[in-house]
Parts: sequence; structure tokens; C-alpha cells
Amino acid sequence: MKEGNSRLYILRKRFSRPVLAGIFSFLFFIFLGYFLLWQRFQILNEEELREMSNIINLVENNVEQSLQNSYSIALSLALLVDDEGNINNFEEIAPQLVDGNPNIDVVQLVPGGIITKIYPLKGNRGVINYNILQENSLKTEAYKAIETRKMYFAGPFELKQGGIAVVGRLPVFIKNEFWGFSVVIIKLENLLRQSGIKKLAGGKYQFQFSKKDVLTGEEIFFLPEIKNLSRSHSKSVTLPDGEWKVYIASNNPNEILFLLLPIGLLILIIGAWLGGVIFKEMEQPAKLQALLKLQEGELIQSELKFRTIFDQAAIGIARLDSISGKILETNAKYAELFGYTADALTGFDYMQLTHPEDIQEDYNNMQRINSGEISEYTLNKRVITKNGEIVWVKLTVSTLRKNGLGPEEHVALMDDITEKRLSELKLNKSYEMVMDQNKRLLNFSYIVSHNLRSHSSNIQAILNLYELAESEDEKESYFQLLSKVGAALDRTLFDLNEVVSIQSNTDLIVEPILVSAYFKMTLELLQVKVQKKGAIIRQEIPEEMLVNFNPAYMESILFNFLSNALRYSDHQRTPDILISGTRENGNWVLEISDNGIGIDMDRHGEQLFGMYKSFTDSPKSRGMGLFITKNQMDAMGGRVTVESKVGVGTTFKLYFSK
Amino acid sequence: MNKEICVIDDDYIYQLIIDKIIRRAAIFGKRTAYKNAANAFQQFKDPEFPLPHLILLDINMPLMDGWEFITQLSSCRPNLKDETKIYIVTSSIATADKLKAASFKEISGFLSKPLSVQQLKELGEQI
Repeated sequence: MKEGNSRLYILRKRFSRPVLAGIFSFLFFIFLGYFLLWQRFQILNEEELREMSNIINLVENNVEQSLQNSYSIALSLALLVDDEGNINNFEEIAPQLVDGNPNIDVVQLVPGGIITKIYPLKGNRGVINYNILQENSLKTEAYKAIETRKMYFAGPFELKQGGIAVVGRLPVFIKNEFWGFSVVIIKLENLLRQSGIKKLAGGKYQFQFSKKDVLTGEEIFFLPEIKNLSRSHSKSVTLPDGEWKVYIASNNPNEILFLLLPIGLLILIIGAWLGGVIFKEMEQPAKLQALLKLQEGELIQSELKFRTIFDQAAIGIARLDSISGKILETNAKYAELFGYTADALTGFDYMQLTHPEDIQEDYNNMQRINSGEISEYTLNKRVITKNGEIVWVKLTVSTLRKNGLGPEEHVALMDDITEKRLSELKLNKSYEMVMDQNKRLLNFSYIVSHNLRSHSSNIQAILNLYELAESEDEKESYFQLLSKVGAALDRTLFDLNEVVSIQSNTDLIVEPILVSAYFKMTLELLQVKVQKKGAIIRQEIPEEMLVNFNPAYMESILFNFLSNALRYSDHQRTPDILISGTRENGNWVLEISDNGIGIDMDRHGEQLFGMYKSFTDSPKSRGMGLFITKNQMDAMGGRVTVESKVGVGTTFKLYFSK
Repeated sequence: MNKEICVIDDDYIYQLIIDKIIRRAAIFGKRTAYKNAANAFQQFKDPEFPLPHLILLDINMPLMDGWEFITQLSSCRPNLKDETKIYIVTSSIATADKLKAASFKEISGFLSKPLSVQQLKELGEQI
């Protein structure tokens, strides 16, 4: 559980890094983006303000220009008044002034506050003789002009004759005495047109025009109220002549914001995307690392598992170096198999541990593995333990690790199959024995039927002839024949009895026999024959050669082989017979070797030890000797082999069992 | 009476008996006998050597048995079947031997011992 938790902790730790990186890069990008956006916003804002300021300045200039013009016209008009206070040539000059200056609409001469002269008269006739100094709404401003002795622009206000207009009153003094006003009226509409404000602002800006009320000091607005006049976007300018104010404000103060909003959104999206991408990018290696860690853990687990299997396995396991054949590591069972402790076998060559007779096969298989011909093999072989005991093992060798060229390491699995193997060998041996006996039995029955039948058929034939006999002499000859058949039958029965007695005799006396002594006896029996043949008998039987055997069988066997060697000698050379005893795998072997006529093994090899199988036309060769010796050897648990070549000689080998 | 018979058998008692039977049958003008097939083969392997009309052949013999004799001889004399009639005459009554005999085209028949005078007469008359 603890491990599981720590693994989870590692996972969380690994995963938190990409999340942080993602968030951080998202925030960083957003911050950067919005900083730049803010800068941009500021620039745009400033640009707008500058533009508004420019417009205002222009408007100011235009208005001032217009007022300046009005002042000049008012002055020119005032010049029509002579020192006596009479108005000359108004009807002539006034049209020139008004028509020549499109920026003014009406001119008046107002002596003593009474509107006396007016141009154009059309539309203004109603105000003739109107006293402005007696009109409350006008007199304050009128008096202000007199007071300051300067031209003062009143209004805009609703004219008596109709329409909103600005009225510029220039006080006229004759000899320092107020005479009246020279008045210029500019319709508000006209003034605004002259200021160019509409043209300049276009649709982009709103503007306002205000004037301080002389009486109340309140600001009076003359245009439809604009929204958000107090916003920082508005720009105002004060015109000194008449304390007017012009305001300008963006039609759409949030335009820049709206303009930048998509970009802001874009930045947000890109930021989120970037964060996501970075998270993903960071997450991939983190994930892989987490996976690696996980697999590493699993690997350790699996290594532990296999280590446990290796250590606890009920069969021997070893790792071997493919080239040197040296043991790199073994498990306890493997070492136990050999009677060593686990580490003691490291460095051993597998050949050192293998039974000498099995090394070649094992080595051949290893060569085939090393050459890549096979990748594994299974072999039943014998190994030698520390105590020198032979243990049968089932060995499975397979490639464990490879480099580019071939195997580097092998794993060898060993299972102790000694008991199995021994019983297998025993079983095989008894199977062979049974098969052999069966074969002999079949052969025997054939021989019996054949041989006995040959006698019986002869008797039958003789009796048939006897019946046909025409003379006593002839009958007599058949009786003689019959007695011959009787003798032959007797001989056959004797042979069969001998065979049966060997094969059925299970409790024969077996005693240690000194082979050399028995051979000496046999040689004495055959002494006459040896001399007759002039044969050389070489005896190389060790004095210590003792075998457990039945004495009668030993006599019979030695007699048979020696007499055979003499009988089948080659006339063209001196018979040379060698009898020697040797040890093979701890068992005694007697070898009888001659330089006789030899046996054609291809033709007779299989039948050599068969009953009544003879291979010469000698009447003495009845095919019983070898048959009987073989049976006697078999009965004693030994075996006989033969090697022979026609014209060279024959060697029989008698293998005695322990 | 110019028919020739040959007996190949290692049983010397049988040889004595068959000799009497042949005489008794009185159909063969000439008769020969071999006590082993190897000797017979030595004579017969020469293609110029005239074969007897009838050969009575035993199976179990030392050195060369009846089967080997036929095999060897037919390799020396490809027309063996037309040159002579070979009968297996044996004390064996084993089916395996009968079947084996049937597989040789050179073998005219398989007869179990003893051979009677009458049987031999019939064989001689067929020639």
C-alpha cells in the first residue's frame, strides 16, 4: 500500500509540473498581451485626444476669426456715425458690409439703445425703435459692453424678430460720451458653420457650445445635450470674447475599447491555447517518465518474481557463457544436483561436469546453437557429481542473450532423471530381452517343426517305398534307411533338449571362475587338433580375470569358440588364435580372434547365431555351436558380438556381466 | 526317357529316399543330386550349361539357401523360367515359406515332403 501511495505521489508530482507550466505560460502570455494592448489603447486614446484638441483649436481659431471679422464690420459701421452723432450713408454701406461678409447676417446701429438702422430690413422690421437698454434680458450684457468700452458678444439668444443668434455690440463713444451701439448679428447656425466644427468633427465627435450666463453665472448650453460631457475624452476651450465654451467629445467613447476587445479576446484564446499546448508538451515526457517509473517498478517486481522462481525452482537452472561454456550462475537446485553449494559451481566448464561419453553430443549441440542453426536443444545425459557419482539429467539449453553475431549467454535447465532413466534402461533391456527371447522362441518352433517334420516325412516316404517294394532285398534296404532316420531323429531330439535345458534353466550354479584356468583346461582338450593344424595359440588372459559364471557353460563356450577357430582356419596360412581378456567399463571382456576363413557378415550376419545355421558344407558344421554358446551367454546375463571378414579372420567378443 | 531331374537338398537321408522314388517313378532318364545349392549354382551359372528339365529344390541349406539360389541363378540366366521347372520340396509347412515361393515367377510349385512316386510321375509327365 505504501508503495502504491508513493507511486501516486510521484504521479501527482510529475503531473503538477506541466499544469503549472501551462498556467504560467497562459498568464505570462495574457499579461504580455494585455500590456501591449494597454499600450496600444493609450496610444489610440492619446491620438484621439490630440485629434480632438486639434479640432478644438481650429474651431477656436475659426470662431475668433469670425468674431474678429464681426468686430471689424462693427467698427466700419461705427465709422458711419459722425462727430455730431448723425448716421451717414447707412443704406449704402450696410448692404456692402453684410453682403460682402457672409459670416454676418444682420447689422444695426443702435443710438442710445434704440434700434434705429437695420440691414437687411426684411425680417427685422419689427425691431425698429426697440430699446434694448430697457429690455431686462438684454440690458445687462449691453451695459457690460458700455462698461468695458469693448465689443461684447451677447447671446446666443432668441431674437425678438425670431431665430437664435449672437449679437456683438460695439459701444460707440463720441467725445468720450456714449452714443450707442454698432451691432453685428451672427446667427448661431452661421457661427457654427463658420467655426467648421461640424465639418471637422464629422460623424466621429459630438460637440457642445456653451456660454456663461451673465446674470446667474450659470453655464448655458445651446445645442442638444451631449452625453458624457465630463468624460476625459471631451475637450473644452474658452473663448474670451463673450466667455464661450466649446466642447468636443467622442461620439463613441468606447470605440477604442470595442476595437481592441476582439484582440483582447484573441489574446485570451491564444493564451489559453498556448497554455494548453505547453501543458500537453510538458505532459508527454512527464507521462512517459511516469510510465517509465511504473514499468521500472514492474520490472523490479518481475525480476523479483523470476529471481524467486530461479532460486526456488525444483529443477536446476544455470546461466552459461556461450563461448567459454563456463557457468556464470546457478540456482541452489543445480548446485545441489552436483553436490556443491550454490556459488561453488561458478566458473566451472560444463564439460568438466559432463560424463565423458556424453560430452561429444552436448558439445555438438552447443556448436549448433552457437552457429545459430538451432536455438535450443534437449538432451538426456549423464553428469558427474562432486562425489564422482553418475546422475542422469534431462538437459534443456536455450539462448538467453544475443549480441549481433550470435548467442552470448545460455540458460541450462537440468532435471534429475536418474531413477527414471535407470528404470527406462532396465525396461529397454528387458524389452530387448523379451523380444530376443520371442524371436528365438519363434525360430526355435520353426526349427523344431522343420527338423522334426523332415524326419517324419522321411519315415513316411520310406514306408511308402516299402509298400511298393518288390523284393526282400529292397525292403531290407528301407529298414536300413529307417534306422538312419531314427539316429538322425535322436540327434535332433538331443540338440533340442540341450537348447531347452539352457533356456529353461533359471537356477544354475553361478560361481567366480578364473577364466585363464578354464581356458587351460579347454586347450588341453583340443591339444590334438591344435597340433594337427599347427596352430599358434596366444593366450593373454590376465590372471585376475574372475567372472561369475556357470562352470559347465564356461567349458562349453570356451570349447566351442576355440574349436570353431581351429575348424574354420584358412589352409593357406598358419592358424593364429589370440585369446585376450580386457576390462571395459569395469566389466570383463573375453576376445577370441582368429585368422581363419572368415564369415560373410552381409550374407550371414543375422543368422550367425541361429539354430541349425551353418555356413560351410562341412558335415561337422551343424549350426549348433554358436547357437548354444549365445544361449549360454544370454542365460548368464552376458552378450556376444562378432566382427569378421572373409579371408581375413573373425573376432568374437564375450561381454560378461558383473 | 531322356528327361533329366536334379535334386538339391542337404539331407542325405532324403537324398537316398528321393533316389529310390525317382527310380520307382521310372520317367527320368538322367538324374543329378547336389547336397548344397552353392555347388549346384557353380555348375548352373554358366549359361552354356544345359539345365535339367526339373529341379527339386530344398529351402533350408547351409551356405546358400533355396531362395538365394534362385535369385542368383536368375540373374545369370534371365530366361530361367523357360529353361527349367523348379519345384520347392521342403519339410516346411510354414505359410510364410509358401507365400514367398509364390512370389518367385521362376518357381513352378511348392511341395511338402514327403514326395510320393505318383506326384513325381505327374511332374515328369508335364514336361
